[in-house]
Amino acid sequence: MSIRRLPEDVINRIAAGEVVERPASALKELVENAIDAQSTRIAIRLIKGGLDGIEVIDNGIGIPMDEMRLALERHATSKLPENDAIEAVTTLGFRGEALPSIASVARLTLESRTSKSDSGWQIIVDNGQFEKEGIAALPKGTKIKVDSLFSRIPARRKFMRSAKSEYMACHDIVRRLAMTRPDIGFSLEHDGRRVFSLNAGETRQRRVAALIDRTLKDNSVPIEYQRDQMYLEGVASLPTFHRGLADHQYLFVNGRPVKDRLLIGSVRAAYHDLLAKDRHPVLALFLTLPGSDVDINVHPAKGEVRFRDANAVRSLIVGALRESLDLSGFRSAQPADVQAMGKWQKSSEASIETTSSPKEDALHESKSSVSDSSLLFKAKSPDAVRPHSFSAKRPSPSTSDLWSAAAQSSLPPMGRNTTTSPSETSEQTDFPLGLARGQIAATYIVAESRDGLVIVDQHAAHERLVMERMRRALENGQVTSQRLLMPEVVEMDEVSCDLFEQRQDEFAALGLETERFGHEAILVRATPAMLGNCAVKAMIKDLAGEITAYDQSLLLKEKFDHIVATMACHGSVRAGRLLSVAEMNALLREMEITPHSGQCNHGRPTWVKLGHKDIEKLFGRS
Amino acid sequence: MKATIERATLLKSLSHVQSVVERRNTIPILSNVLIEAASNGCVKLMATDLDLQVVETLSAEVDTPGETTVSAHMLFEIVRKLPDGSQIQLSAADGKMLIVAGRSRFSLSTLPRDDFPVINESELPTHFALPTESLKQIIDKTRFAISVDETRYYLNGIFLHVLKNGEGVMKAAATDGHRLACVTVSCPAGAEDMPDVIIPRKCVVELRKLLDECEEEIKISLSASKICFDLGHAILTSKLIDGTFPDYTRVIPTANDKLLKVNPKALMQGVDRVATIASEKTRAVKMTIEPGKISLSVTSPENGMATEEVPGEYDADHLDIGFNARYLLDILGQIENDVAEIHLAESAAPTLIRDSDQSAALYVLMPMRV
Repeated sequence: MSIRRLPEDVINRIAAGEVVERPASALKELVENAIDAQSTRIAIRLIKGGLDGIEVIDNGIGIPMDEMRLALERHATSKLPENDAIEAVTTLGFRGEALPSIASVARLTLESRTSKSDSGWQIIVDNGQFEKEGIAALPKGTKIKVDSLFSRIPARRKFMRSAKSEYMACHDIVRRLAMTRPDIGFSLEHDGRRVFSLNAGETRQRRVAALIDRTLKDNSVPIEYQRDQMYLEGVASLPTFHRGLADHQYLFVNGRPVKDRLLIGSVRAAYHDLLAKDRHPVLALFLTLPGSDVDINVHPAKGEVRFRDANAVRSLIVGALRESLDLSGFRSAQPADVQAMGKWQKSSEASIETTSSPKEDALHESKSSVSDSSLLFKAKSPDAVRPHSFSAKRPSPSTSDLWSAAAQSSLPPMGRNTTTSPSETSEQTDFPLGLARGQIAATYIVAESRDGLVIVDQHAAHERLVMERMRRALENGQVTSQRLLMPEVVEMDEVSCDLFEQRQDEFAALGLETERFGHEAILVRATPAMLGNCAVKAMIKDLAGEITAYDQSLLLKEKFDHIVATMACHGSVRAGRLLSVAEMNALLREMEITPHSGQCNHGRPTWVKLGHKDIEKLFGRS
Repeated sequence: MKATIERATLLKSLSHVQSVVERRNTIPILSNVLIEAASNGCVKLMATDLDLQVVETLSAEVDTPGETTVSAHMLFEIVRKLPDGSQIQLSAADGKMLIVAGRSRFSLSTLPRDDFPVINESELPTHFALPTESLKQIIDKTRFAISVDETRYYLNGIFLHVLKNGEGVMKAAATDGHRLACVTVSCPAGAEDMPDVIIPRKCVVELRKLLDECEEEIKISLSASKICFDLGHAILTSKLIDGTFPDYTRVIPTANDKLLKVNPKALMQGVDRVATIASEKTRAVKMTIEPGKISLSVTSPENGMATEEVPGEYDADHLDIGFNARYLLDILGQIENDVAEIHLAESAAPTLIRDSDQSAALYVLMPMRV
């Protein structure tokens, strides 16, 4: 067979193999086009998970009639500037491949109208073959309909999963894109059912919470951080708000949803001492950096990017997350968990109407706190932030005055340890965790704060405080390492050895001294003294595995933390010990000034608050 | 089976036997002790954990020869609580063993003797006798260094070997990867061609318990996989660790030119005192060695610091070196003389510690980076 140039429709079908592998990828291209067309409202309709039909309607600039046929040609785009500078691309697409690719594997109906023209124009292309064109009636914008995807490509069709799982993939794509643009309204309909509808012009935190989990809004910290030319913003959950799967972690680079293991590693690094190993935070991070520092043209689907300086990006993400979490201080998931409240309320006769209104109040409150906090984060002053983070929990002044007056006059002190003097009561407004009123079951401290009732798990809280103190001591102290009598040779494949070798200075700083030993082995000369007589081989292999998977290794630090945590556990106040009021107050005050004291070492909260609103709800008074 | 035994005799033998028996067993018969009464007035007690087996022989009044097995820990507890000086009558029949002493009666359930696993003591080609004192020395001076790291199982015992160069010395060594202890004794007749063996820690511990009441010499027979110690009243048989002990002779430094002579007791007390400050996990002690004195110091970020000076004989260059306090105390505790020789090279190199160049034992300790 002689060599020949392939016909255009075959080329398109080959390109479609890269760009369009399932309905979700076709949908992604179409929605990205809609976003690039400066739309403010995008409606998406799916039939049978997109297998039987995808429809994307936007109100963007539209395509002029005379350019519509060109738009369906390969490598035809309006998105590249005249000088063809791919590096300077600001739109989501730019390759000019999506439409012809989709058109080559499905029946595509393209209807569009620009603001200048009086009527719309329609083109129908069936599996790469022009079918017909004519006038169409539609408002300004573009409407694209894709039916019978892959109907002429049985090989592809055979590999489609169920409509349900194709729908899940489509939903995920729309969710990611909707997160990037809170300024655009999105609606998604599946088989005639409205899945979600988001208004244009929402705040990012609200949009993200709406798409992931409504309760995230009250359990997250906003992130806003700039370093050199890189700018990171987004939402990260508090350590007490976590999931068993790392599925709700989103990274967006220059407005583009990206899947990158860099994110997984950075998130783990930022949360590693706050969460148990098998729990994962929920977050959405939006990274903006100059186009010259990132290469998006790695794959036609643009799901991967390459950073020129991956380490700088990682340290930015870790730094931003740590700082925001540090500033959240002693906050834990609160107010009291909705579910827990629900259980409590079952017995009471509170009606549904009464429970819904205070909830909304709470939402507004925390929303206002969010805007405050972003300003404060820019100021980067820890002193300024402390008062802020509890001001968020303060209800309107009038209620609190009434309440504290009531507390002083009519509430008798409770708990056997209480020796509250009037002067203390008047001071209570100064403390976010309130003043200790007593102990329950010799395990929980009950404190009264200005805006509610605070319950603290004394062991979890003290353990965390002791651990933070010990860790600080450890960081300031010198690392000791025990040299081995007979250096241990650990054999691994060459790639792992290379990666390990690159990091050996980092490990040496932690007391693990290694050197390369031939092509496929690492020689261990000394181990961290804290680990005692440890199983060297297993540890080195675990470390290498972690580097391969996440590009970094926290394992050694985690091992140290584990030892510190065990020591902290032994050195802290146990449940069942009676505490005096002075002791309890000292504990509460220390929690207020210690970062990360809001959760124990496993991500459980160390304290919960029952706000006045919650208490009123319990009694059906609101 | 029916036999009468004096309580003190039975108790002593049982105490040796029951410590071989593990507290928890998946195979029920391993919890039991095998009691064999022979018509010549000998009662044998035997226990095993499948790797280690001990057989004790004691004299008794045997009415009916026979054998049975009962729970070792239970029998030991019963005998321990019986009044001193009592005569204990053991009789077994119909799946029960009756214990009668004075006015106490116990009836214990038994398991059939045929199920009891026995380590085959035959086929041990090498035989020799080692003076009890030599064996005690080997164990006492090395066992602190035996590793407890199960991943390097070949370090979980004492390595015993004879130098094949005809010097006529037998060497025993133990290490945990951070320190090494090595004892040299003269090679007994018959051991010249013995294979290199690693004696597991549990065997070492049980053997040492039996050695205090032993005669002059211990008869040892071994093969590459098993070792048997005949102590007269007791026979201890153990499987050996199937592994290769690392070539430890290479890590014994020979060119350490800085010699420090110091009173081990004074140094120990000093180290012990300053180590109070150290955090429990690292226990690093820094030694600053100058002619005429050693400064010991410990700095802990949480607790503060401690220093102490100990006099010592030293005429080489100033040296800073760190050690794990516990390791140093372990080794110094083995020094018998009033002077310990500490041979140093540099702060990252292995350090040799011994009584003198005549002493049988020597220790190597790796420093810490502090």
